[in-house]
Amino acid sequence: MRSLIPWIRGGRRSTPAGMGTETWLDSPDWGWSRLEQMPTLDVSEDEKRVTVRMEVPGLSKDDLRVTWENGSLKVSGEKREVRGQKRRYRECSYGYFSRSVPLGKDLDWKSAKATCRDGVLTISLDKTPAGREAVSVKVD
Amino acid sequence: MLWDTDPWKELDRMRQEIDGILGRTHHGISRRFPPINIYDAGDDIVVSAELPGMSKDQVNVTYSDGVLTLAGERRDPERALEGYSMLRQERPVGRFEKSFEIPTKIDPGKISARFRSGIMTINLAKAEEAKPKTIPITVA
Repeated sequence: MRSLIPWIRGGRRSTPAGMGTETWLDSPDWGWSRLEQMPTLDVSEDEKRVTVRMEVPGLSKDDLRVTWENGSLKVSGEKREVRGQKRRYRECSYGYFSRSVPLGKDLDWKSAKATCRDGVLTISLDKTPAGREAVSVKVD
Repeated sequence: MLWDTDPWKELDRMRQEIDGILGRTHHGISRRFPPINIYDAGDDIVVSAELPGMSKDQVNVTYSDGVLTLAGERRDPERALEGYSMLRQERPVGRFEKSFEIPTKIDPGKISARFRSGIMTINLAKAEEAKPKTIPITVA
């Protein structure tokens, strides 16, 4: 999926089932070389809220930017490697990342709470009364 | 020999790659977990492993005969809560075990580890004979 033109490396692609878009910028030895190496995340819900947990090892809250737009939660930041030692082997990914997760409009973004602990960013949003209603669909 | 790598090691590496692509192995979660980097810090070899959401007592680090092993089990207690459902699940959970060879002779009595922001950093002191030496040159 790499662009052959070095100055526009990176790209955008839609994930299956409308689960959002991921943007990644990479370089030959410095960056998220594959989509599967983007910060991974879980999305869960209970009756009252939706919670997103994203893996951001080594990052603190000051390195992360969380925004909400049109029913999508977007997390972006930069993961930097601690330099100064000679690297012999690398599996970890570094560089800028941006992930957008559509969560729907029935969430109250003003209720959003985010914490970053042990390398996991946790964001929870309360459901609006409309979002709490379970809708039953009649099957003919 | 045309190249100096051990063909058996190369085969094992290929198998691990394939296991990685397939995602899971009979050992539990992917052999790729956790991703690691290895650095040469002069007198020490430094291994860093990304284990977001885990704490030091959940990871077992052992060193034997030139091979470092990281093992443990990653759980997400919230997944078991009642009324909780996962909408998207990318973060691996389950048992893992990852072994890799340390490329330098080290002193097994001098291994230390610390855990911060989901990153475990393991310091392995090089054996005396493997440490870089400065040879003083006397100018006559």
